[in-house]
Amino acid sequence: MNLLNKSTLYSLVWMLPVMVIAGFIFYFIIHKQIQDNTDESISEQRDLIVRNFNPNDNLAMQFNKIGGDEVTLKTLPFGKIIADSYTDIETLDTIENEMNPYRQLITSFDKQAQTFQLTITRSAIKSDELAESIAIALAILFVLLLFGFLTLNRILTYNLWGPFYESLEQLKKFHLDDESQIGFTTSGIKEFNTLNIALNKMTQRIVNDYLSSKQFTENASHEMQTPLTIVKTKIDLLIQSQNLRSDDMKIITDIDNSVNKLSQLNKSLLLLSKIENNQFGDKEEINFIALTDKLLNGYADNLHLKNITTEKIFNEPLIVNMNLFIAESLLSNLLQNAIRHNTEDGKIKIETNSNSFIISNTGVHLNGNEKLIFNRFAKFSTSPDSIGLGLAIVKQVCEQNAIQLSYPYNGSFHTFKLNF
Amino acid sequence: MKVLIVEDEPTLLDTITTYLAAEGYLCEAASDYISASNKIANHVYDCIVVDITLPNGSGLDLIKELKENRIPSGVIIISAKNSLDDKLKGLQLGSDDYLTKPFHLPELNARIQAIMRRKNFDGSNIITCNEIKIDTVAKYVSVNEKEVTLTLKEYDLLVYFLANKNRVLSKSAIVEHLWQDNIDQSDSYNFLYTHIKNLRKKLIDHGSADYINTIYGMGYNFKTQ
Repeated sequence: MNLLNKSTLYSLVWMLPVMVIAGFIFYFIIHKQIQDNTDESISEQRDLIVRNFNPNDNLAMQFNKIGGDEVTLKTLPFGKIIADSYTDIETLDTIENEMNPYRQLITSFDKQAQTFQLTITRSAIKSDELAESIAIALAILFVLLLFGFLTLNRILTYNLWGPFYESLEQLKKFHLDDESQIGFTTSGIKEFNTLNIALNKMTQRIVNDYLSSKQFTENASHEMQTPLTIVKTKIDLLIQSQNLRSDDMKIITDIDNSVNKLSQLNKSLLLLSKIENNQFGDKEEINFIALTDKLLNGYADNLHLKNITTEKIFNEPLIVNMNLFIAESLLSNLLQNAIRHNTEDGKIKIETNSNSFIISNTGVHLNGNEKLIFNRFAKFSTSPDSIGLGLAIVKQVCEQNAIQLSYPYNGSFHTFKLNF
Repeated sequence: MKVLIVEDEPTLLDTITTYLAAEGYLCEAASDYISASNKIANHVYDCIVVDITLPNGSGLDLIKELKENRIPSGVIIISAKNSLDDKLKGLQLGSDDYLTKPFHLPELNARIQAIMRRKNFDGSNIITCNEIKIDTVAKYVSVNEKEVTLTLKEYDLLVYFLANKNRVLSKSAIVEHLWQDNIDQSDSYNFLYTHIKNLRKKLIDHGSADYINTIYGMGYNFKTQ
């Protein structure tokens, strides 16, 4: 349940019983007032009757109904006193067949040396109805009061918690990768200010930690360049020695090969981490067709070695706004991949449209491991010498530049599709 | 030819100095900005090999110093950073070349010689090796004055060999030079074999001696001695 609803519920929980109890109390007070009013009126009626009563008149003739009240007289033994008693009675109305309420006064008085019992019975329907109407009005009032109060409470609460909701929104927008600093503002409320200051500090720390950990990969790779250079250059020196036997040469050759692999690996990792860190900013309009042609020329030897034919289907020019170095990395890795995993006398097809680039090559089926090809260091039996980072670089470049990358394999061709 | 090498990693500094000295350069070394700056102030070097990341200063500032004082030395930057920005900045400041670590020594040597030719310190743009003559401006190769037609790769290969005569050159060094590590090493060795075979044949067919020796498993040596 949310904050507003819960606070509304709490208010309801205490307000409702209070209002109900208050309602009952009000009702009884009013009812009593009305009743007292009636009793006073009956009493006045009694005074009137007693004053005008003449015992010598015919009893039945003089009374019965006076002002709508039913009046009865009875003689009592002289001196008997009945105290005023007001009671509620109900009698059955034979016509309507329902019980009607009455207020009755039974009292005694003396006149001309005689004692009489006087009973005045007045219909209580009207006063009951009055009480009921008042009760209903009261109930409506209370409901409106309740409603109004709850609404007002909700509005005030909402405004009170405004800064808190703002902070929540900011938190939702928080992204580690986001360059924009999210800020938590100050408000007039001490607790929220404290919260915001703490949030600011925390997010700052998190972002800094993240950035420095990203930097770490790059720094580590950088540091490796110099020792690698030392090994490579020492090998350059070592192989000049006249005292090397062919066995020694073989060992050195193996060392040299491994060092070169290490170098390439390091270079690729460095590139990957730089791409991830968005360090290639300068963008320009890149003509993908021209770039493809240039790279294909560079790979002429490789294509020739495996006797691979290339088919270029340049339907439309493809111009993309991105960093040149990245674009070259992207295309050269795709091309190298297409060449390396191709078969002898294989084929490479390259197709461009105004917003897509498709490269496909013949090659060995990957036994259902297609999903893995973009993982770093994923290798397949067809290319034991590959480092396994080429496609990871392709994937990273696409991610950073909002390019859709898909790998629809259709039987004989490995296809990579880029959508811009 | 006088060369100054500025590099803070001592082993690497020593390695480079040894190799270049064996190539016949007069080498001096500096391992930080201040000593390098002093050396530059006291001597005019034909070429300066400088690492960008130095203690107490940047190699780029050294280059700025050189240009401000109009010192005509050739400058080649060696750096662990392969950043385009750094390369451009270096070239803008007046360096003549930029070599990324890790690199091969013969590569450094070839680049220094190229800078020297461009700056005409040797007095010419002609490389001569007995009967072989190369005009690096016209890209014209001749054996005994007769023109030899070479492909671009074969030409680059020949220039590289002549820059590093009588040295065992590993296959990886040659491949890196020819393809600037745009390609996977393992594939390239096959191409290399083909290019070398073709170059050798063309030279011999035009009457040159057979200089290119194969060092089994390791690489090649252009032997003139």
